[in-house]
Amino acid sequence: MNCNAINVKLSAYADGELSGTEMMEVRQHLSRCRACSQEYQLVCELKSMISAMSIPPPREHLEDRLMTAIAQADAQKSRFPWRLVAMFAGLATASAAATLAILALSPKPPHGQDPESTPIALEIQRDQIYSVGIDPMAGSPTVSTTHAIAP
Amino acid sequence: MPSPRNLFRAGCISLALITVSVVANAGTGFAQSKAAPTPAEVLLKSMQRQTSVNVLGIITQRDGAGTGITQTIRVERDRNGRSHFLVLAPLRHQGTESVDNGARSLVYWPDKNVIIDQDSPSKTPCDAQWRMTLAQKNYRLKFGTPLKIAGRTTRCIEATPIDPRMEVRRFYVDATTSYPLRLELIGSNRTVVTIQDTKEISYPVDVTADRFVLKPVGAPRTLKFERPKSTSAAQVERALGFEPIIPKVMPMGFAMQDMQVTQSDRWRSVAIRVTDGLVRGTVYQWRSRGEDREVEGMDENSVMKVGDVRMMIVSDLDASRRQAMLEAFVESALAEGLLDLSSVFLEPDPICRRFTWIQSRYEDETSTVNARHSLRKETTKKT
Repeated sequence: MNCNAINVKLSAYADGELSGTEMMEVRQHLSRCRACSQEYQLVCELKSMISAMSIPPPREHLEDRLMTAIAQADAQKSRFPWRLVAMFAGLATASAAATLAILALSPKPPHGQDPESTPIALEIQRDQIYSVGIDPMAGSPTVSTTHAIAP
Repeated sequence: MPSPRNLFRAGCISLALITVSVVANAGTGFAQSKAAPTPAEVLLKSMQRQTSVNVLGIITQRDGAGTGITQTIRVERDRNGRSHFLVLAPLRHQGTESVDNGARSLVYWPDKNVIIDQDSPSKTPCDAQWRMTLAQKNYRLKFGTPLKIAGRTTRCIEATPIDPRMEVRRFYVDATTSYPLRLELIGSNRTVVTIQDTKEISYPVDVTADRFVLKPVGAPRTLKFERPKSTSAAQVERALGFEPIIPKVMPMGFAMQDMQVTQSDRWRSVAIRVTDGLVRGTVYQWRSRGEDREVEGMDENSVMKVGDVRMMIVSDLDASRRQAMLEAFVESALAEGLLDLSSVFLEPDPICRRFTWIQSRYEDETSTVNARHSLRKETTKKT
């Protein structure tokens, strides 16, 4: 790959978004090309500056303006035919009730529990990270071995 | 025509040459047999926690949770035991990161904005030699057909289990550095499943220390954990209020490696580490209280209840073998009299009802008792 092709990929490379082969190609190019390496440093600096930027506070009277906008939207809604809206609302309520009933009656899925929501899940997740770290053949601790609680 | 003296001289010279060549060949053969490592020696080298080289690579690893998802991960390791893993794909796991700087181990889940912070596992003593001794009891190790993986010449070590319930494992390790590059499982129907594979790899001379620093976005919540401490059954009973179920003879050639009590106040349990040398597992046991609802939705092959003690196995074994392991765990404990039979069978948990061996054994005992009762009644009537 030439410098132009590398420059296009520098941002994605810094974010770790490239495929394995591309990551290695860019890394190899950066190790031997000073110009691209400097460019990459600039990209990294720019990214760190953006992430370090503070979130600007909202302007004054934002809440008032929002409430006014909502009130105006409500006024526009009032021109709608109420009978049609009521019919749709009824249908939506019925379908929501049916969905809730199905969800309540159906068994819990074996996977997909949030590890933070439950102490057991979190403890096992934590313990398995430790256990995988002990064994170099086990690979990466980022990969879950917990069949019961996939992250 | 050659004289007898010349003939004698020629004979002596050829005899000396033959002797020299035989000795030389024997010497070379001896040297070769001493130099050529055995499959166990090669595998043992790749099981060491500290690598002999710095490693920079891209690997793919199958999710052990049975979801079938394969993660693409950037790996950085140095010969001091420090490591950095960054998940590149799939998107749902992208950015998940693990850094071990030799003192602390940090795992960062960016989507949840959480960091798990605990002691580095590298502080625990390396158990490679003990595991290899066990592996040699449970597997026949031999060299298989080597392949080129990520441009590297490999050695293949095929581990055929002695217990037919276990799977054949094929380890491909770098022929020069002994770094593990691929792991394959061969099922009973000869299907090959690649658990771990290497796509790119290089061994840089230097790796800078800043590679082993976690740089999260924003300010994630950090959850700190104490390192689990090794303990004994008596200490577990004192700490948790129940005697842990630990059979002396474990199924499929497994052996207990360690027993640790979790240091958390939120969930008090004992973690029993088991291994057959190549496969690891953890059996968690805890006294069932309010957490039962939490466990109900979990994989039923991994969880069971014996009396008021819950057991859960976490391992890279597949579902049927996990279940077999858990059942055999209980069976061994029953055979050793560590468990009361009725506590297993009479438990209303549906998981226990599918154990036909328990059912048959229980029915045998019940029928024996009934037979004794009826015999006694008949004898009383006659007298």
